[in-house]
Amino acid sequence: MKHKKAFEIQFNWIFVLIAGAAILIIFTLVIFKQRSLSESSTNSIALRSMESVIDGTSVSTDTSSLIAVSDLSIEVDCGKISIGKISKQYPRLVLFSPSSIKGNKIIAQTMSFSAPYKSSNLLFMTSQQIKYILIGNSDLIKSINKSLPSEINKENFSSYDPSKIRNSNNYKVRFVFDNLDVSPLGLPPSLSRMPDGDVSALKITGNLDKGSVDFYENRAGSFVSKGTSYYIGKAALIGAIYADTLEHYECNMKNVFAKHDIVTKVYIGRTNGLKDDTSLSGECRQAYSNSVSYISRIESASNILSDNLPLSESEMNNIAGSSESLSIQNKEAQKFSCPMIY
Amino acid sequence: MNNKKAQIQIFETIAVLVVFFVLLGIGFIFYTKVIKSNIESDAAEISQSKSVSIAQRAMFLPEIQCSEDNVPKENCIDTLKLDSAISVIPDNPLYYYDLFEFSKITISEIYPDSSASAKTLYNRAAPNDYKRQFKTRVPVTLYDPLTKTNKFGMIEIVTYTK
Repeated sequence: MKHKKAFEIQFNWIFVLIAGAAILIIFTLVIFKQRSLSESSTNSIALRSMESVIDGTSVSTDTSSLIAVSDLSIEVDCGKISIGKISKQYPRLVLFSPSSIKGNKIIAQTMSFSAPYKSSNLLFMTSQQIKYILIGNSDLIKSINKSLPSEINKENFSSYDPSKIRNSNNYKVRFVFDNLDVSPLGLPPSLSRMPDGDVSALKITGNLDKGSVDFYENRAGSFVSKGTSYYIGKAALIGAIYADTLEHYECNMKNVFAKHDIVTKVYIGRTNGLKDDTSLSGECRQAYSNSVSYISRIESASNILSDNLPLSESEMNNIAGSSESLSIQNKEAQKFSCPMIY
Repeated sequence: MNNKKAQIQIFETIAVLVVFFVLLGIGFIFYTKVIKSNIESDAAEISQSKSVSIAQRAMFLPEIQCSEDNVPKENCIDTLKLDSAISVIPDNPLYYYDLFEFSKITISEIYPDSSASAKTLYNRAAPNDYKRQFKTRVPVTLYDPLTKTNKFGMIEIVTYTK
């Protein structure tokens, strides 16, 4: 009898233990699931607000704004934006930015890409926690300094003096040099302990209309070249400053030229329409006739640039040269009171 | 006697557990219903904001926007550009699908010739499971560069979402 009672008490305890454990497991599972769901939901809300920011800013030209966001790390890749485990593909995205944007304040800027007519709005984004150091006192550097929004964490030095550069706990630092050979320059002692790749430099050779850009990254205390690319127009040059890698810059430019190719095809149709209209004067039709060949050259160069990487210098020069000739024809059309080409 | 008492106790515990799990189940069903309705209302909100974005993109399309010496004019459509864009856009379906997804963009003249037929700039029919439809109509100026005349028109953007 005594044995039976002891068994009964023991069984009760085992039963309570199993039921309790089952309840605890259920609640633990629910809590973990809820936590991961809430994390993904926060990330997807942040991604959606990024999308709205991109949509909103990309339709307005020459604007800059400071946007408050959740304190998350946004990873930007070629045609892809990721926040945590949530990512979304944007095959034709034109967003010049560092590979990671951290902090709760994002600076967004837009500039139109024109060669010579506007074909797209370039969107630039960066974090206030990234420092931009402009070296030089040339007109080019002054113009770049003026074009970068005041909200950006930027400094301008007339010459490169490593001892003057302070470390203000930025997670990335980007130098911009005007036609100064970067390779022999050592990293400032204050930044020498920053991880490889977090200090980058851009060497500009050219002017606001066209030129080349050399990308550098820090490796073991010095700047190492990562390659050269090309730009036409101020907007593309500013894009090269925001994009911290050559690959990111070229991927965006490829998308810019894909759009430029489409818009150029529209201009070919429009100019042919103007050229074939017999009600217009001979001078007008001559200007349109000359323009069609320049626009066609721009179209073929844009098509090549949108299909091939690395960007070809000769095709970039083709676009720059034809744009100049086309702008002369546009002025010519204006002079004779003809409908303008663009 | 003791055996019966123990059995009753075990049944009591099991009954408590059953009631507990039933209540837990009811709570869970209620919770999922609330979550589901929240998701549905979020989806409707996302669809609406997506349609606004698409309308915004269409309104500022450099392919059709008027410009004078490279200065774009808002709410103005260049009719020569429009005719050219109508033939260029179908050749780049993937590019424009990324921009406009499943939608239809038409431009029509309202004044002086309201009987003029509407021009379809983009049209991508939605699959059957796209049940929501948002219509945005924006008045615009239709500028003809050949005659240098302006007409009143309307751009209508119909977007289809799930």
